[in-house]
Amino acid sequence: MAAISVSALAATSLLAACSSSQNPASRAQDSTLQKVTRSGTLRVASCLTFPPFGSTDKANKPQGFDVDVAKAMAKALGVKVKIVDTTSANRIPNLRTHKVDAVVCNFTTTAERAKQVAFSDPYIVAGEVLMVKKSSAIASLKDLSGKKVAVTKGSTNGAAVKEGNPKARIQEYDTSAAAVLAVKQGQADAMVEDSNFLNYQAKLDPSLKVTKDSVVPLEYNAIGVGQGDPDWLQWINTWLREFNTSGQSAALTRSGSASSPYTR
Amino acid sequence: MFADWTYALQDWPTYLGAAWLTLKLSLAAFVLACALGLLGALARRSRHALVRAPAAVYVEVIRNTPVLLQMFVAYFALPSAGLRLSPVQAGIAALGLNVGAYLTEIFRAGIQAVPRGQSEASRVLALSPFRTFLHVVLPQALRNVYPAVINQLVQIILGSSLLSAISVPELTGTAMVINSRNLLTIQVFGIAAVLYLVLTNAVVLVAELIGRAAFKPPLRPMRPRQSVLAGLRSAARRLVLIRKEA
Repeated sequence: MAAISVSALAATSLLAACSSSQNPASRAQDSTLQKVTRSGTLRVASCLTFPPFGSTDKANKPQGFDVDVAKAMAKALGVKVKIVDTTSANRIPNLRTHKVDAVVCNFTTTAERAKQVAFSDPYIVAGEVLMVKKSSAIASLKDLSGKKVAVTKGSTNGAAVKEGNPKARIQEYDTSAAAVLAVKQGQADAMVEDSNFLNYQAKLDPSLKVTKDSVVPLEYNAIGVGQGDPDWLQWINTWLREFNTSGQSAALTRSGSASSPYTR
Repeated sequence: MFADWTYALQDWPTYLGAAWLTLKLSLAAFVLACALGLLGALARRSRHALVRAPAAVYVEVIRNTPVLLQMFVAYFALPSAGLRLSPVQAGIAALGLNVGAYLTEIFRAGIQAVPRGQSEASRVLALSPFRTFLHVVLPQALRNVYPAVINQLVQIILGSSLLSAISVPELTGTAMVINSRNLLTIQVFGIAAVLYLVLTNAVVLVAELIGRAAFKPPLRPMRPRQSVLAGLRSAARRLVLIRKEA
């Protein structure tokens, strides 16, 4: 009798083990990781109006640091990469509607955003600084009272400026490129954006300068993916560690003007 | 679901402010467009080629380039030529200029549709050419094109959504900013769409009432005068008839 009950127990526990192992296995099948390897294409949203992170070359092909990160990721997966141009405001909608598998677009991690999407470990850090005309006297947030400040819709900068100086007049543009144009043409007195991006812009145009003071503390930018897919996130984090320790990231950083959290 | 809507509606004053700005700048652009359209139509009908040519160039250049590009020129390019307009000013100028070109053609068609005998008769009655135009031709021309002109006003209200690209905080741009903050895409753009519907329908209704009061004989109502209830009732009756036949 005892023997029967033991074997029955073993049978039920075996059954339980079977059914519980069923779920993770089927979940792994549904993971973006599997879908990407099966379809042979990795779809990545990058912002192609944000040099040196994303832009297009003369042949209209995507280029830049974020594009290179996406390419390296696809290479590690052994698939082709498809870069989808997007804007700051459309990063989260792109992920929520499964239009892309990942967002690599200077995506700053915030607790608020993490309610809607999942973030990998950071792959790059940046400060947010001001860019003004060379002749301008603006040097910090204090000087922005009553001044027109260009930011991009859906970025963290508008709120940061309002918090730092409520008297600043915010103008919100669709892309960072439009905000730069507004400063160049005198339609805005200053703009706030990622330090890597603005240093690059100021290098291109000698009539512009970047202030030394950071508007906000250091920002950590990461790869964004959809929520509820631990296998995919786990793969990206594992790959990112390899990407950094193997020196690939550092090599990209040296060739561009971006800076990685691990090389600083 | 319900909580999402109430959360999205926390920004209600912001939406309302943006809708108010949309209405104000659309009406300003419409006034500018009407003035330009009337002048343009007169110029295109002028006997002098020197007056006709610039009006023709205006219509063809504006009608054959995208309005978004015109907005960029008004806002980003004109400062290089020494003219600095605020985002709202540049927006009114670009929208007004754009729709003015379409109204030029609409007014011209309206004026052409007034029978020649009308102006000939009024000249025989010793009215000056100016008074002939003002009191005889223009009222009839306006009556001819009134629905088409109101259509253009709706086009302006909807076209103002493009002004978000030059940082005008109008309804669409404001919705995009709110959406990037609370990420309630369906709710935010749903609210904006409803506000646009309310805005355009209210404007069209007011225009229709003005049209009915201003023209003699009055314009026929733009929609058949049948209440929703009466419409449903007649639809139901038709259904019953079809069933009986079957």
